[in-house]
Amino acid sequence: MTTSTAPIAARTATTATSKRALALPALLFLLIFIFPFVAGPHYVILMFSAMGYAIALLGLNLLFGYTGLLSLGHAMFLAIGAYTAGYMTSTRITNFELILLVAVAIGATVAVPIGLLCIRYVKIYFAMLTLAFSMLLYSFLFKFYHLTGGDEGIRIKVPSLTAWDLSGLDTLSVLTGPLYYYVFALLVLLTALMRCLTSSSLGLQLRAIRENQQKAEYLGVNVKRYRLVAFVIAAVYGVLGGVIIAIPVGLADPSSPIGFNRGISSSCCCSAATPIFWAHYWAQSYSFSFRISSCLSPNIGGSPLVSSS
Amino acid sequence: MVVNVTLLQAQNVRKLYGGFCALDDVTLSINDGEHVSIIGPNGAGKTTLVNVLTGLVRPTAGNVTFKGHNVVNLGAVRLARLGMARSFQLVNIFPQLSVGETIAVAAISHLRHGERFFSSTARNRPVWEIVERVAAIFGFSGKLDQPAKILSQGDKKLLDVASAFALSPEIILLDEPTSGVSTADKSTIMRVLVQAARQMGIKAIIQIEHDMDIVFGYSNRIIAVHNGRILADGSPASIRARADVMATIVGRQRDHA
Repeated sequence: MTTSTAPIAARTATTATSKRALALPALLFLLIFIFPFVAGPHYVILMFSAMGYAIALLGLNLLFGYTGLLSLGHAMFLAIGAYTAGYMTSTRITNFELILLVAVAIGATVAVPIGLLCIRYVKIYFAMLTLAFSMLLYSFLFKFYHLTGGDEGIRIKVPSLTAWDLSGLDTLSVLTGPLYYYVFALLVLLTALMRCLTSSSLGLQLRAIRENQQKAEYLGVNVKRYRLVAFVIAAVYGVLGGVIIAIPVGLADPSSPIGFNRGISSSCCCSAATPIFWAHYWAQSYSFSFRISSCLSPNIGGSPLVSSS
Repeated sequence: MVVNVTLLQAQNVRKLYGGFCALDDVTLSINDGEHVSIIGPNGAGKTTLVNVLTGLVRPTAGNVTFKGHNVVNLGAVRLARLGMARSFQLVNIFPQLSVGETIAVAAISHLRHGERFFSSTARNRPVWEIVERVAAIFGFSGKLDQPAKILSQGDKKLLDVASAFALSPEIILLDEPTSGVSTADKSTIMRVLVQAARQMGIKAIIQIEHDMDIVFGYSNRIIAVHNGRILADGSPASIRARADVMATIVGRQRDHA
């Protein structure tokens, strides 16, 4: 064992780079924190979408970036979050924590059976199946008028906080003040949690599954179980993002499973959520577009949907 | 008297691919302390045999048991837990994972740390102790942070084998560990494998091998396969004495002393 010092030195170097990788997200969090002091209320309210999409994309990144499963139905969980917020506030349950908890419970409950079915497939088949479930939810929201309000949707009232008495404040000051920082704290917390999960044995095993499923199985990695775990965690993050995005909008409507999908793809490209997503992604250092092309191109009859770049 | 504990057993195994019979009525048992070489010409059924023994391929008839458990219904994950590991004929690695991470996947699985979702793997000392030990044996100590995809072809092959060893299995099945490697490097790899098996406490090695110098130099039991049937099964000396086996497998009769 003459070489035991080399790997330890190598790992210290890795820790140093991960500290540098943390600098960008830390700076972004600082900017989000001081944002209400420098920007007008309209822009502050837009930040709810940015932070909501950031949370939803953290989940999608676990499923797509780490596990290699591209879900086109991630927006369905955002819609579940939005409708839960709408349904609860319209039945006079306005407590924000309770809304989040119930949304997580519903999201996870829906994600388990859908996940069990979808994770049996990979690549384009997984993508199409998740899209199918998303469209199914869209039809459900559209047709079940008495439950979902049909095309009119459900109104979402501004929620209340347990630890913060908001009774004297008008809607705008609640959104730009207490609720903004509440959501910000949630974003920081969920980012830290995701970092914890991805640097644990779960993250390593998910990446092993993404890289080579057969090899992972013969090294004792329970592929199906961890895929399901990733799917459910992604769903929970999606649901939380959905609640947050929908609150300043004040409406959950059936276009949300589709509209959120558009939102997700546009946030991947250009929205304010992107830096947070990319910073996290960049820290893991591999390319998003590469993953899209390698996920979709092979084994679909020689006609790649997305050309490799 | 030494009691030979049977680890892996195949009974009347038959495998049909459509009309083609890849394995026909194969019965064998692998015991503690054996280093088995499976030899045979191309298309004899060697890889199919290893695939059936490791549960990757379901036999058409017959059954395979590992430590009393039916391999067919067990699945790869539980086989790994029970103490069986394998490497593959073609390079089978995690391209974007580093060498250290690749071995760590096996170490995590061996230590049953797979469910530790909230503690950092980088700071998991037992895992990295195994990684460093295995890396030192296989000569990867200086390459732990290199992505597996930039390794040379020989090193990729060796990494596949090293990660299987990191499971600390009782039995390991290697599908041509020395293929695609220069003749000079083959004996180096074999020395590493034998040393690794001793250090990791591996009880039995099953290896598909084409190089007769390695077959007769390292194994203590040889199974000759031809047209899906076991042609001969015995010690190197007894195989060398079989003129028909030597003619079929080696292609010509010659003394491999």
